[in-house]
Amino acid sequence: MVDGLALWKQLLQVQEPWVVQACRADEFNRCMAVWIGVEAPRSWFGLGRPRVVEGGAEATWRHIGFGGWRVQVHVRVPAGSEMPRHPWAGEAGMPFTRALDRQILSLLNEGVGMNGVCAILDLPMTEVWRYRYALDRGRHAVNSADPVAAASPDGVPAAAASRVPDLDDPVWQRLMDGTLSLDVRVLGLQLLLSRTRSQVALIADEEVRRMKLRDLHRYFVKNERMLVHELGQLLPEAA
Amino acid sequence: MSALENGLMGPDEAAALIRAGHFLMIAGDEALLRRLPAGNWIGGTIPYFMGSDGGQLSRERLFVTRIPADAGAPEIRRYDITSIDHVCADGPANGFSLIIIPAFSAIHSLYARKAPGFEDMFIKPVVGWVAGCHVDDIGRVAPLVVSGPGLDFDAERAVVMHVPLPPERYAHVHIANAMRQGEGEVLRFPETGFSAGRCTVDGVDTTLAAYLEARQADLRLPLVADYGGASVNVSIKGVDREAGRVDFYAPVFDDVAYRLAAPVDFAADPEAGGETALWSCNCILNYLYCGLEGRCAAPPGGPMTFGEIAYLLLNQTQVFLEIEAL
Repeated sequence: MVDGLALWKQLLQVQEPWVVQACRADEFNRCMAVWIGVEAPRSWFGLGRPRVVEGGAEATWRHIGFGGWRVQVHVRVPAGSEMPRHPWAGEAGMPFTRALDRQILSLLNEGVGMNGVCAILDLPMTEVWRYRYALDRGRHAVNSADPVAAASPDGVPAAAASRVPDLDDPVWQRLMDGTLSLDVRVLGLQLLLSRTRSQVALIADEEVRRMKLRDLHRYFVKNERMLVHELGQLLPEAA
Repeated sequence: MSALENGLMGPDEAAALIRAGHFLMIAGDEALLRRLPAGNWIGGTIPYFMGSDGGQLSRERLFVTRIPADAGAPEIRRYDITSIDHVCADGPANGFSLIIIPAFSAIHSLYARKAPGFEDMFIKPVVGWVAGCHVDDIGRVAPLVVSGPGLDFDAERAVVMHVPLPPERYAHVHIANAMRQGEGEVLRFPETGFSAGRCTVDGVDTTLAAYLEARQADLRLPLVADYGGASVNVSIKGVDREAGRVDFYAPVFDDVAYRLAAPVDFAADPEAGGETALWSCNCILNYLYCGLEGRCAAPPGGPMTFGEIAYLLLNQTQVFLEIEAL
């Protein structure tokens, strides 16, 4: 079953300190139950004190299905810890994980009816009603699945006053892949640019590269005020 | 910046600032921190400081920094290993986040290894330090952080103050690092971690321990990575020749190239650079290796810590937080 745990860790993108602790297949109902919890932390130079990760309440959410199988995620949250905010978890009291939540909302926003949502995602009507009720009562908010939305003003000067080139300007691609070199004096940008370039050198997927490019653009929009030296070099290169 | 706003003081003075309702970051010996009243402060244990009168070990004074609160009240929160990855995302849209992490804890390890991938890392400023203890007490005394509102002392969680700033001001984090990459070979590691056995030296597979021995390397000199012009150190804790393992004070990353630092004069005066900074911290290794006790380093002073945080966990580096005006 170890391979199964590793597979679900990968499929659900579970990252340290969270681990997939167990999974169980109900072949009759084509339902996979996955348990996620916190792994006892490793020590630090041998000085780390053993720490018991006390189990708190277990929360359960329905997740996106895989290969025609339903997936139920059970999360054991350590006592005193917040509910995880990852896509494989949901909010307390809600029936679905955030990832499934977004799919449902997308369908509803596209005008798909409740029966259609249930049929497409193989969900019980009672739970979709419960979800819809929470939405209608303002008791549930869905985080944006689109990272671009997070790139909006963020308390920085309005876009109209910004000198930062548009996201579609080819200058960003050149900056990201290193064909455009800037003299960077701001620590945050030095770290971000260096990390981004080392990552995109290994990333073939166009969507992921696009996400990295959006992050870089977002950094400039948010921190424009301290990037006078860098923008002075970037702007003449922009389209 | 006056001593009342950023400097060493006795616990009674610090308590008076707390009672006056100021938002504060406080570094000091655990016994002194336990004498302080509840209030709008975060703290961490450390008895080493750089004050206006030079580096010192003190169990009688605290280093207190007054945090601006003119754009709304800062928010004090604690993070554990399950939530620390949201520390930047939770930061204010315009402002900064001050973080203190207890040394040797799981969250120390996790932050050091995983911070580059945290949501909004580098987008929003996060700066702070790693709480420690007297070097003679390492392994016997647990470094602690303190959340002032509830006087919660914690050896496993990080404490954070998210500080909003008004639109006409912004936070600027920068560092002073005397170390630069040397001219030697390029070192790469097969995995991220606080210790290394195998590595490649200019592409040739070997062990780091053997490489350091062959070079007769000065182990006070760190490995240095060049992040687009910023030198980031990984300090060497020790070499276990029998096991062929080298331990570090910060992790080496599997996707970063390193070189041994160029030789430096440890007795030279530290470079200036933060005269107008709101806050600063420096590394306990600089304190020890450079013999800073009784010597002055770049202002504004601050705690000499078990790790400095300027977005990432750093070693042998002075970190500055400046509040700039448009």
